[in-house]
Amino acid sequence: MITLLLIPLVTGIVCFFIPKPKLIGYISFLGSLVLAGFTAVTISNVFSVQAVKEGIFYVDALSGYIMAIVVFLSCLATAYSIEYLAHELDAGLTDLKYIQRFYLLLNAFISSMLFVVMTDNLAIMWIAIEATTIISAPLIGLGFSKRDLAIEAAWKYIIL
Amino acid sequence: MNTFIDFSSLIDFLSIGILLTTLSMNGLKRLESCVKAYFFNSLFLSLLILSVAFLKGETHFFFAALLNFAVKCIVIPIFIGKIIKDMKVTHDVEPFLSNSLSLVISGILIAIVYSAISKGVYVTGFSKNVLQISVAVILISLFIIISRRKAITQVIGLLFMENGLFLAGFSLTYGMPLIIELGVFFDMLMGVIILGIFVVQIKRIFTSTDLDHLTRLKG
Repeated sequence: MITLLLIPLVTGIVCFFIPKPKLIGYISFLGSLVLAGFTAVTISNVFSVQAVKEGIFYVDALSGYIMAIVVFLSCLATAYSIEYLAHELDAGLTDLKYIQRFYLLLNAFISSMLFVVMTDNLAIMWIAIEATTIISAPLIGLGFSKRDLAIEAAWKYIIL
Repeated sequence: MNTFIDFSSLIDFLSIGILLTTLSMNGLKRLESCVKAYFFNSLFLSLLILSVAFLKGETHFFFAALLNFAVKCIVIPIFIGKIIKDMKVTHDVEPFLSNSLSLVISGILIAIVYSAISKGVYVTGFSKNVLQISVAVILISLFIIISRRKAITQVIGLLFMENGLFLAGFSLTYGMPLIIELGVFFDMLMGVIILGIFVVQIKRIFTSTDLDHLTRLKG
């Protein structure tokens, strides 16, 4: 179970230390594909056999369903962001530091989203929901030095 | 110690202190005094947890009180005070409503809360008055967030609201396991740090922390 959470985190940390923008995108996409494979195994197990309980983790059919949505969307997001960020880089709107931070935060966000649906404990679930808010706020406000609107959007997001 | 807490109804006094420090946000004119009000609010909250710890005699309440004091009375006030000092703008609060009007509205909110929760809710916690007070604290701090225009006052209102939520949860459930409270405090600390970074960036981009400038994104 915990491997599902560790895959995006490790991918994010690896992405943070790679100096080539395109390569970071491909590695992140590869990470999310691997994550999709592991999640597919878990979900098929849950759907065909029974709910899995391991320590603080508990995955039943409903959380398997939501996990499938999360992982599918993360695959789409990482695939789309490769070309998008390359375009932004050509236009001079981002630089390497922002791309590294973007992929670190994106992968940490995927990990915390999975943690929300996988946990068994209500209080830990609440902490994980808070963690998604706190991770996605800098993700929205990223690149604020070039855009005024990013900081406004991030402020309104985190206050609401 | 237990008889002293029982006889003097210390818990009720401390929760009244939490309510009054929240109410004092309506009357304060400078940002520094708002931070001081938050300090006293958190101090009363820590003392309340400490007195419940003496009543129940469980060790993890002592840790919770200590943690609460360290995070909310020391780290966050120092951090916000540093931001206020670095901003070098006018330190007045400049509310949309006058102070006396907002005090009246807060009083009405407290009356509504007391009349709504007095009947029909069976309270399981340590005192039957604390739930009303915590809901009133949440509503007043929401009103403060709405009616002030500085970014820092919104952050402080959010922190007051968090104190009220903590009080409500603590009065109903006698607190959570220590590891979960650690997680909550860590989340809150990170949130305050991120909000602080955003405040500094808003100051840099719009040359003031007035949130009236944030009007370009509308639904």
